[in-house]
Amino acid sequence: MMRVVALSVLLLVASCIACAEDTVELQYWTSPYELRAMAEIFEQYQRENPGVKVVIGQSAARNLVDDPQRVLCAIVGGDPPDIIVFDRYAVGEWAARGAFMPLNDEVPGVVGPGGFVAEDARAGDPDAIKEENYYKPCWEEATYKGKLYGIAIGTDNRALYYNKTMLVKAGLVDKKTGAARPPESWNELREYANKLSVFETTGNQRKLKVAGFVPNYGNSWLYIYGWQNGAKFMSDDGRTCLLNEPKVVEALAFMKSMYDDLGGAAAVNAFQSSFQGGELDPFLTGKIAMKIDGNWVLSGIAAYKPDMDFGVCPAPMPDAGQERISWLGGWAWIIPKGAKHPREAWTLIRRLSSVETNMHMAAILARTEAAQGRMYIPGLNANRLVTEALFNKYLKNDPNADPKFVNAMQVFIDLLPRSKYRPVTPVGQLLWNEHVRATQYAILGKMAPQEALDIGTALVQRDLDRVFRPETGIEVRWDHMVMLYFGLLALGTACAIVWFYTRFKGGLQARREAWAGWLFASPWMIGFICFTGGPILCSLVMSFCTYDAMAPSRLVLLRNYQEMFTADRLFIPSLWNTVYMVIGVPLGMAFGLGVALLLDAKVRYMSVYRTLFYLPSIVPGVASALLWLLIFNANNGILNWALEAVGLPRLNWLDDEHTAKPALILQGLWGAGAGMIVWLAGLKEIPTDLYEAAAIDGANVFDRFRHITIPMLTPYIFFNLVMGLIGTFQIFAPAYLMTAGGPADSTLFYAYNLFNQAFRYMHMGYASALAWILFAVVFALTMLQLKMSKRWVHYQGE
Amino acid sequence: MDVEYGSPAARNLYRVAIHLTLIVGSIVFSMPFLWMVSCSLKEDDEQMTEKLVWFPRLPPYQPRSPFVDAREGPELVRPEEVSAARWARLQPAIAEVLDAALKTVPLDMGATPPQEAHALVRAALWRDVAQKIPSEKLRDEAGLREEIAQIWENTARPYITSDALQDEAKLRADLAGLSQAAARKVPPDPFRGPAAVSAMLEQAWAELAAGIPSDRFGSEKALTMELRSRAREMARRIGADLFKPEEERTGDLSRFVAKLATEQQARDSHRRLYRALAVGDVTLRAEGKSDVRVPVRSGNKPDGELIWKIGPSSRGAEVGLRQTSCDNKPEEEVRYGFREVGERACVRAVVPFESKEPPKAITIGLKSDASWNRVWFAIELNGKRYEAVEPALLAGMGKRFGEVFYQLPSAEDEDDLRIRHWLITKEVSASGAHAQPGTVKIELAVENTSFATKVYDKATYNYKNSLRYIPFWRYFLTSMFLVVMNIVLAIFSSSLIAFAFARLKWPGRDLCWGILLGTIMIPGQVTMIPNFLIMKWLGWYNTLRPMWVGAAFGSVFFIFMLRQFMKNIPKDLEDAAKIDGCSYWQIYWHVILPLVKPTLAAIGIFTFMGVWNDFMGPLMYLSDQRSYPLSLGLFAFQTIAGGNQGMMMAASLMMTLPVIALFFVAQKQFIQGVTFTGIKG
Repeated sequence: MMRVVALSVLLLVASCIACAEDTVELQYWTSPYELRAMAEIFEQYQRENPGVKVVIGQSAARNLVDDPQRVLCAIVGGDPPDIIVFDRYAVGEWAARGAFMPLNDEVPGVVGPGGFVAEDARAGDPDAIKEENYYKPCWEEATYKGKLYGIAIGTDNRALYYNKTMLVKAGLVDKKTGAARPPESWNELREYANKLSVFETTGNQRKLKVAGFVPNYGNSWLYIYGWQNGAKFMSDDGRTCLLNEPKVVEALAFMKSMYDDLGGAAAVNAFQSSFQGGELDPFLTGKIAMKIDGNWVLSGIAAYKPDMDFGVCPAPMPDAGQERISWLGGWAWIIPKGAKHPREAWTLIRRLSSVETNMHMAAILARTEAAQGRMYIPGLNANRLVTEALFNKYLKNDPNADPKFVNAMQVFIDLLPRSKYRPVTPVGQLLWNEHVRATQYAILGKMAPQEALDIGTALVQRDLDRVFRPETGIEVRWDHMVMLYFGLLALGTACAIVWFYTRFKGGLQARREAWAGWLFASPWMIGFICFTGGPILCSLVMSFCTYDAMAPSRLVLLRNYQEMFTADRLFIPSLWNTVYMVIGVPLGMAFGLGVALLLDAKVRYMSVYRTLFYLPSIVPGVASALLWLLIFNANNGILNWALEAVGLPRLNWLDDEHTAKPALILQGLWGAGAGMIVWLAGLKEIPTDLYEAAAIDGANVFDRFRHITIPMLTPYIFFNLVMGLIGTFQIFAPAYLMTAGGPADSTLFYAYNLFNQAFRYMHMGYASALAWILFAVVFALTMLQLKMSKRWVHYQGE
Repeated sequence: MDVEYGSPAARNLYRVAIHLTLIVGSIVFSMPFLWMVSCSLKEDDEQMTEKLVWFPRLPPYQPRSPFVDAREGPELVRPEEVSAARWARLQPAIAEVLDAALKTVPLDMGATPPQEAHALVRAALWRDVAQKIPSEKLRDEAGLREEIAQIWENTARPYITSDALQDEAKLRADLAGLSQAAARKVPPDPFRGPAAVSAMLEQAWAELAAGIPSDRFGSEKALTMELRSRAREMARRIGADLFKPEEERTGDLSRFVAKLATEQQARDSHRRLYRALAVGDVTLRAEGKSDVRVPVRSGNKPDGELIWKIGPSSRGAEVGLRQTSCDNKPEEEVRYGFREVGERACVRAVVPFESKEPPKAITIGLKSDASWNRVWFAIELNGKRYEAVEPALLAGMGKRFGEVFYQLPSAEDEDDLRIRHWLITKEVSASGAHAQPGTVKIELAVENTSFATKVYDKATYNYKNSLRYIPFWRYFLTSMFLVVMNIVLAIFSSSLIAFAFARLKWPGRDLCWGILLGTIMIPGQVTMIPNFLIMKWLGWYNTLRPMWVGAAFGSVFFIFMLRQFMKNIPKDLEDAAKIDGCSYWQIYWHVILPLVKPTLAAIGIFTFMGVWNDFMGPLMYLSDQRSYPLSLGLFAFQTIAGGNQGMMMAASLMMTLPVIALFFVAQKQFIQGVTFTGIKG
């Protein structure tokens, strides 16, 4: 034991030493693209700026914006990275919360009036970042209330890709030239899609084999169809959400009709679930004939199938002949508030955004591609000078460049000035998520488009109204709360001590024992006071407040609780989803007990069997999520393989709202081995003489099970039931790791909804209220079980 | 339960039944795990196949290269549109045309026997050509009628919307108006008189639209169904005499195939199957400098000298070099043939490099022939020789040009968390190594490995790669640190606390016990946010402390388990100790603790599994990737390399193994240690 302690202390010391640094460490968080080229740029930067070291972190979030918990924790935690590569459309929202440093405004103690941008202009820096060099939408997307919070990096927009070979094969050609002719209107797009789709019919099941066009595959979203139809999504003054205006409803209805042609969105999701990237991309392998996607796809085609016969044209509009449009997005560098080295961070950003650096980086990438015999397709940059220089050098003026790629890129560049961008609003994240949710509900046929969009609009509008009418409740000071808490505790302790010395009845021995008891239990008491009791009270107070982890929290009394039942559309469904999962508790118990009975038999090699049965519950959560996604895969998962082998119809499992929850229950059953430990322990405790006596009395196996095993196990049944219910009500991991709550919120569990409210929308007060309701439900259920347990639980020796 | 009773025969029967059930159960329960193992042994293109494949593909045994890949098979595949009956007639004709096309094109078949290679290339050519044949040329008469019906349906369907259904008359007119556009889409090719067919269909469709009963205009679905059945009926009415006779159509198709099967197409299809090892450009980078690329032809001129030469090879090995190009880029193809396992074929290049120190990074353009042979790398300069510590494998699908990267170990490696895609190269002692100033010599040697070695290499491929790509051992050590701290603290504090609750009487005990049990019911989400703020206030954000300090305050579940166990210990022992003058601490340490060892072991295992797999904690509290534990490291790797299933599965499996081993060894203590007798309220 001592050795273990010594070892761990040693390890601890070692880890502390490793942390000590004397150089400036610039933490740079990015998604991992193009990192190989960046490495050389960073090395050069480090040579020019001795004493500065750039540390690249990948930040372990699937998407920093959709899943911003880590960014939030880092900023609130006071130890943020110095630069984050952030999705541009969300910059405004986070800036509104005060999470980022303004770049064209004074920051006390860091930079004078006009911010870094003006400082560089005054200094006449040749690399100075100038607004006039940027595409207007890109610059504006990172600007909130006149202040610039991010420097746009790359940009991207969307157009229609079509497989010319497939169009020709299907006879979708220009009658005169015989060449493939892309669709020009929505109706024509739909007609093309139907013509190009191929189904495989086995029995009365129709399985999609080739999809002509999937409205939301690639990178289109409801946004493109909405904008094409003339929608705006947000009023010009930014105060009204227009997500449910008729033009958006029409666009969504169009998307739904295309999905219906393909056999419904669930079938399409199942079809898409086996898509892979790289060389096996479905567009390259001819599983998808047309798609709306971004310009970055060109690099993939150049890398993996350069001889593919494809074309790119602006996406078809509702009517032929309308001016074609697109929408753009992209990334931006931001400096979080609280960054330790903002000045160095800025010099790095300035460096990275210069034309010279971009050309250098392109040269590296081009060299890498060339060494592999591939064509280098530069991306679009928010800086017009960079985009033009790259396009001219690598495509337009390069005699070796394949004309189909040059033409395709030209389409994207021409579309840039006519591109829309997502509204810059403090509720951008919610607007985006609600637009995705409404799309999902509508295409799955769970709701009419109008209804789905109405609900989303109401939610967005509510949050928007709050931004424009700030809360006026009393500010809650957490430091006061903490003082009050510890003050009360001190008072209570003092009372207890006084009581102990004046009223405690018992001799010296009893007093000694009391002191010993308190001392021995003190670790728990301290832990409870600091890490359980305090936080519980804190969250109780928080549940009556608004709190977004950055602004001060204000008292709103019962509003959070009231909204749960009136405004939160997801509250009841998430509760229902969670309750539904309770089915898994008795099933899992029965299953686990059956397995335990089997594993309790006295035969050889039992330890091997036990290990095998226990396997599914050992696999770590992240790995098992990935594994089960493969198993549930509707196209080639083992489960459908097994179903087919015994002659049952295939299911879409996690892609279908009706089977998603049962699928997760099934997954839980597989892990019944975990409960087996407790059952085995219980079985071991049943005295064998009871069985012997029963056997002498002539009881058969079933009688013995019914009258001895079950009654003797009741404490264990009770324990498993209580713990199982508590665990089920807190179920979170499958939603977080596997389904993201979908499809159509069918696996949006209570705890996941709570997590989203807290860490995605920063409604921490509301999330606390949700947590308290959860606690109340669990508490009531447990009390009920305790009460009922008196009737059926049998304790040995009683 | 009771093997002891019953006759010997019955007992045996019982045993067999139990074993059978256990075996079946084991298979069912370990199925996901087996699948994980299977996936970890597969290459990328084996992961998401159309049909489920349980067993990973075996590598080919190829002692001679180049060769023609046999994976796609030699048969001409029937395109979906062709009916089986028609295919029987078409196939010989098509085979004849393809044979003729291939005859005129000289193609390199490498080491594959000509007959076999011809069949393989012919099948590939047909696959490529068939993709480009318009479907109406392939369908038989029944198929054509169906296609024609669909033309009408597809044209009309977008116009049938719920809005349009409101105005029946207008919709009827619209549909009738579409008939001309639809008729124009009828393919002329299969018909004798296409104009007549077109005219007939135009009129029929216009009438059809007018003839639909009004009650069908109720819903989109009803109308679509009606349209479909009527369009089919209409297509059936096209007279058989209007179609071209079958012989004529077969002739048409043969001519069309001949037109598509051009020389270029034949070369492209051949290239798809042709597997050859090829070497290309060399890129060198000196410390603190930029990459310098040495093209495969000096000066990148068309007549420049090629840099790769044949090197010293094993006696039995044949090796040759040939100038070719891949994707419009010159390369040198390495042709080799071996007789024995272990023979090596070597090529080398001497390239300019102006530095005394060896290059920091070396990149070599390399196209794999998918033979799973090994390639050994060495570089020599200034009389010193450096060799790669492990071979590169000729894996992959072998279609494209790739690169292999080599680096000398450097101080940065420890700190650097970038995906490590390069192979480490180390100095070896060698006499007579290349010493010509201003140049380096690079050697690549293909080793002919045995089939068994190839199987081993393929099986360990994903494992070795994932160990190289992620700082696995660094993450592993962090995880171990957390596990050790948690186990030590949890065992110590929980037993201490449980002792107070089980064996000592003190005022407030029952109240505290009630509160303690009550905390089980508190969802983690309630305290998540405040706890984060506390950790932040303590300055513990981005340290490992939030993940282990909590264990010092005991865990409710463990306290509960230990208390039940301790309650069962007879009081006499304790009384005897008291009489001997033991303090409470001594009673705890010398009397109680040794007796609850099984439970402590169970706690240890529970803690191990919990901490090992926990990733929510690290996700919240850690921002610096250098201090990630394995669970979060794996999650981070998944966000980057999510597409690479094989590597993810291999890494997950390696992460799971310690837990499996622990459970296997310690399960007895585990089960004994869990006890709940005497649970009351």
